Amino acid sequence: MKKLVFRLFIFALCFFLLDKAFIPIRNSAPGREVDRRLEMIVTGKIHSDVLIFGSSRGARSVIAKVFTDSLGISAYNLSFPGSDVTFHEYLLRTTLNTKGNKKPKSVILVVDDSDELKVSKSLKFRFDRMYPLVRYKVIREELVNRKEKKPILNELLVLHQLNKSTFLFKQRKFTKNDSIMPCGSMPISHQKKTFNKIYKSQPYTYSKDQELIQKISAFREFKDLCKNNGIQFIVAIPPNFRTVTRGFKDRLLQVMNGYGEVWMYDSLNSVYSNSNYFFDNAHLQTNGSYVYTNELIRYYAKINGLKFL
Amino acid sequence: MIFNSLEYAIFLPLIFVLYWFVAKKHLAWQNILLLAASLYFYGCWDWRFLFLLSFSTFLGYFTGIRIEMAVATSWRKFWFWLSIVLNVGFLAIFKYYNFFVSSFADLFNSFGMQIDSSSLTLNLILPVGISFYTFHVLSYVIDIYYDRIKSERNIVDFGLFVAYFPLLVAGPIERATHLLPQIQKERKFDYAKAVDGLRQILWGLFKKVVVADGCAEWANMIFDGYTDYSGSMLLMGAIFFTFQIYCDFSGYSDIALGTSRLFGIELLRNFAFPYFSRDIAEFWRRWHISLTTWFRDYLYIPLGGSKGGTWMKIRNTFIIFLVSGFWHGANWTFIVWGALNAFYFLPLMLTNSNRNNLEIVAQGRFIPSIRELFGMILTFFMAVFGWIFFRSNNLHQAIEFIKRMFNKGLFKSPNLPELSNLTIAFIGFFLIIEWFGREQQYALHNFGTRWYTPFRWLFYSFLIVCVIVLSGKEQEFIYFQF
Repeated sequence: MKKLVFRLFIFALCFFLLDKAFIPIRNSAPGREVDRRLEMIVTGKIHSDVLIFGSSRGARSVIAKVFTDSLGISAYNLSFPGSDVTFHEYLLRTTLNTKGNKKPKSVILVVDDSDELKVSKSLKFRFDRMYPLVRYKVIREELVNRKEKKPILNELLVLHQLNKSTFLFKQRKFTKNDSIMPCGSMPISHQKKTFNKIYKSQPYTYSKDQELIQKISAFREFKDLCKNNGIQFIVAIPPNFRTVTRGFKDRLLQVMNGYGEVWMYDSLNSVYSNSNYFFDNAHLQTNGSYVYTNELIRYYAKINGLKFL
Repeated sequence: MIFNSLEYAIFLPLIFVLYWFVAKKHLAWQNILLLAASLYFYGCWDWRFLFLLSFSTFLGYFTGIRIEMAVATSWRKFWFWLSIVLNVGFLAIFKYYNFFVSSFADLFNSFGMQIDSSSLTLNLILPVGISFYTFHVLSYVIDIYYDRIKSERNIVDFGLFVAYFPLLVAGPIERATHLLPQIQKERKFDYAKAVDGLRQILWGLFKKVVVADGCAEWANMIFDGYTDYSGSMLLMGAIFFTFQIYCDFSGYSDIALGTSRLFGIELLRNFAFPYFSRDIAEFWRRWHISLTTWFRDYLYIPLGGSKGGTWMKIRNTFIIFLVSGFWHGANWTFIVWGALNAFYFLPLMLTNSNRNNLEIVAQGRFIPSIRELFGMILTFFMAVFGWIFFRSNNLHQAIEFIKRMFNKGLFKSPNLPELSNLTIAFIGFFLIIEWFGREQQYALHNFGTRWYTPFRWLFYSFLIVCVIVLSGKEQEFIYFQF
């Protein structure tokens, strides 16, 4: 019995030392990433006046650089494809809490009318974006808070902080669909092969069915972060290749409870019913993104009394 | 509390230390400690389940004594059937009631009668492990009725037999003839057995956390979105699930057996490398052995087994496979899975070739013959096909999945995510180790035991590193739902 306990103790000690050998692997992981925007947030390198948050619809539709070119104000796009509002809330919270980041004057949240507040297969909290950055304490703490990792083990073992993606030692590269501009935006200049290009003209009404309380709470927390920090909050609805979702804007205003603005694209603009401006049914391609961003900037300039350069 | 949780990593050493240091001199204390630990372990799911477990235990205990004491045959029968009806009744209500109600409602509705099944179904939670501990009690009562064993008078010992925590929620399904004598016998600490137990726990954790949970990610992705994938991707989904279900369940069994060995109690073996089987009969001798032998001894043989004529053999084979399928859950998918396996099995039985392959493949050799290899591959893919029904949510999904799998897309290269390569590499590693250890009780039983200690420790460290890195949110074991 004593022999077993003694040998287990020696083994545990050796294993503890072996565990520390994984520190260099953990620390080298961020360098292999091609998308460094989350790392910029946690290292305090966000210095823009306007920040754009959202999923792929935010990443593709809003070209942040146009804000600078048109209005002379700095803007940066922090939209992550496949991310949901819980992730956007985390990004904004971390941006505001991290030393070195500049508090933005305005935040634009680009929403997804079918998935923003609802159960969704395609949008989620992007843990996969966080694992390469576990060398940063703030990331490790969030993983523990979200029950991805155990608090004690997380403190004790470097290995417990890692994930299988840490062991993909290949340098990541930009893909055709995931190239990032210096302003953080990710427009696409081609069309999806399976895009059927048939404009759906039948009316579509928003329904509260399958809304998730967690998403609604996250959305409210996102709004409260803006409110409590005196940040202008704009919710932007981008176009689909179909008619406007009726009732969605009202639902957003209801959830926002008096703080912030909801802006929707000009549904009468013929661009939004022309398939040449779309990547697929839910995303614009680059030419459409410029049209949409310019509309957004005109609205932004109007409510802030800004003049075009 | 599940085996792959931090809570269990604290619970197990604590009970181990109390068992061997504090209670080691008194068998009764050891049994009381194990019973208390078992009830705590089970209560961690939902303390209300403890009432049902206790009722089942007292019912088995009481009726067991009554059957033995009864002088008149009629009273023996009465206590026996009371126990059977109540035990099976509880299982039927919790597990099958809603299924029968909705199936009958569907049937009547198809004849034009309007029956709303939702008003008749019950809002019940299925108690964890109910199928397993019910079968423990049933085997005990049946064995007493047929005078195979004496009834147990010590309620602690009997309670431990029913509720022993390593096997409580997902087996192996123990027999009173095997487990009770071990509970009653004094147990001494054995270093070699304890180390072997730890090794089996480690291998079980590796199978569960690294292989099963890794495969689950891709199997779930493909089964949930099966309409979006090509035939080859669907085949990969079915293969991933094939490894998931095996590594999940046999991983659980390894942890259960290893844990029990730490306390000096040997449990029944549940798996014997089933994916190395050369025919489906061999597969069923190697898959979920404790359930298969339970059905053989308490259902198949009482029905006449294979002694009668051809039709009786066919009838009994179908009964045992259909009941086995139905045991897994109240869903037509499990019944079809059982029936499919009966169809696989019948030709072997009718040609008297179901007992051709009794030894492990390539025994005493490293490389199997071409014939053996062909048999293994064929049996493996028959199992893969069967698992599609087992994994699907309903028959419609299973049939659609199969239809979409067998099209020209089957011959395209599957477009798997990059990270799945890691899972495939782990499956390869796992198969190599299993192949090396296939003549043992479990793959790591003798693997590396003669190596120079630092190398052996390095190998164990590798397995632990994989387990720690890949353990995110705890994933429940599939068989808990049964």
